[in-house]
Amino acid sequence: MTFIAKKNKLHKISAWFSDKRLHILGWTIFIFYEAIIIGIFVGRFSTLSTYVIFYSLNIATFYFHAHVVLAFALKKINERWWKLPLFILLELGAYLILTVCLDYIVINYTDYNGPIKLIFNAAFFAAPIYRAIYFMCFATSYYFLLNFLEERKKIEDLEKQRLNNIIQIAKSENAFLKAQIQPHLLFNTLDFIYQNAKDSSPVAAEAIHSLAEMMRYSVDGNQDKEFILLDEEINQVENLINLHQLRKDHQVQLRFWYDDEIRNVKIIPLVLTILVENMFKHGELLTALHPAEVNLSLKNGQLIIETSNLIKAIKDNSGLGSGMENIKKRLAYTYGNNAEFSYFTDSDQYFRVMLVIKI
Amino acid sequence: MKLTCIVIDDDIHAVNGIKSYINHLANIHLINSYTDPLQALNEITAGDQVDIVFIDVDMPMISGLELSKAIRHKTEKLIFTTSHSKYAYEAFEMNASAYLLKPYTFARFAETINRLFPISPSLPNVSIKREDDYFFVRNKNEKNSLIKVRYTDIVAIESLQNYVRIFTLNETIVSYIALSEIKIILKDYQNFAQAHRSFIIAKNYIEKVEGNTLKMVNDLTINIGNSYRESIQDYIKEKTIKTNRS
Repeated sequence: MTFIAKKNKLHKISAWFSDKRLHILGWTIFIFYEAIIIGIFVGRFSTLSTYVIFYSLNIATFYFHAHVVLAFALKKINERWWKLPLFILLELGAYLILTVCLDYIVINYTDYNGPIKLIFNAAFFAAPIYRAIYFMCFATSYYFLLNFLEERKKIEDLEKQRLNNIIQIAKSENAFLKAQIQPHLLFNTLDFIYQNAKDSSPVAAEAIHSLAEMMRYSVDGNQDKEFILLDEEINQVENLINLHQLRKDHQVQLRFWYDDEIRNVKIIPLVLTILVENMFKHGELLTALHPAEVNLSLKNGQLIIETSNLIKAIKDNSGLGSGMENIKKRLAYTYGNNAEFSYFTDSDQYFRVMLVIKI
Repeated sequence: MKLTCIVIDDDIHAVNGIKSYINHLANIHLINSYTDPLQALNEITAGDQVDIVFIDVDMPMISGLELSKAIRHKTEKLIFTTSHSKYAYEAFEMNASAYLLKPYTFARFAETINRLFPISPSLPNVSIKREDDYFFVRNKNEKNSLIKVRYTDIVAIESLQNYVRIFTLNETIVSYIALSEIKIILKDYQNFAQAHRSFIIAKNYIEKVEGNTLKMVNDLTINIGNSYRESIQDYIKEKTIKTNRS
């Protein structure tokens, strides 16, 4: 055997020991405890060879029972009822035969110091049967423990895989959106259109500009952050309002009230934007007598966002609920009890949203 | 003296766009423009010192970032023009003075130049003869026809980004003019005051004051902005009848 092969074998052995170290430790403690207790109790210690031989048998029974007998007996559900008792009986028989053989070996070939004659009566068999059942019970709990651990690992793996799938889907959706068009190409093209439209159709150019600003906000991915400055959301909303004003010939009656100091307040992304998007989608914003309002204010360390708008006569509530639910969940997740979010339609057919966040 | 500038952008439309902006500003003069970055590199390094270089970040052959390193010493200010903000951080590393994200408006362009050269601000000229009691604006809702607005008729003016909505006693006019420009026109008229960042009001048409809101004659309700509260309150206090009973 070459040196390397030897080293390899040594390595394998040490790996086996470190793999099974819990078992070895368990058995060592168990044998030590049992041998000492019984030794003290009976007042007599057996010889080392007796211990080695019989504990080898018992340990072998333990693993044989768990990994072979139970594994085969319980494999098929509808055959369990006859296989399990049969296999256990066979195992018990084999154990008794082995015990007799080993007794014979111990008496004749070791430095055995006990009674020499074997008497085959009930008392002679009682002790080994007790020992066999004793270790088989241990092995049974060991078997179920292993099963339980395996089941748990499977469930954990499944859960992990499920989460991974969700993350993968989210990532690929995001990547898909981002990959649809290179931002570089997108903004250069928008700039090209802007430059060409600027003199002949200033309104179109302005719309392109607002659109580009909004696209930049979503492409830059700032909304992936946990908190952003209200400033970014305000700019986004201003652009959104401007786009709608341009499209509706500046007939949109929406007042956006805020003071510039509030721009430095931090908030979770896409709350204000979604609220205002909802107003455009579901609100009646073209009546001069009933202007819609968005009001941002700071009072006693609280950020207050209020919106109100007349609802459309023809209701289009598709998506409203889910958008609001989404905001509600995200607010609860980040702020917990520090955020109050409520919305309702009042008797004058005004849809009102009130959000108060302690900062 | 005029500011001198050079434009480098591989896209001819972008060059034309910035040229038209430069032409709109009286105090800035274009020395040359390049669509070929290598030619720009050769000529600028051999040429005279300039005040501003506008340079696109994404160009073929030599990147705007590399080119700007080579010519940085030839210019007082370096302004990056880029379509994508991921370069913004690198731009500041490069000692760029500012960056313009494409597409950018004339207002943003002018504001950037004025910020970098505050000594000679080049405000777009808003001039009007002060003696008259009216002015004309283009009414967007009537195909941009000119419409007369009497100062005494104005109740309030609302900002809609680059537009304003003028509420007069009889009608509402939307016009392509910024609130900041209107403010310049109105600055000699004591009756007008800013009540909110998006509202200028005529004080004599305030009908009611309820806490933080003003109700105007035409039922228009306006919130008072924090920074304008004091001057509005002063005016109202001045006009409030005082008795010894209170």
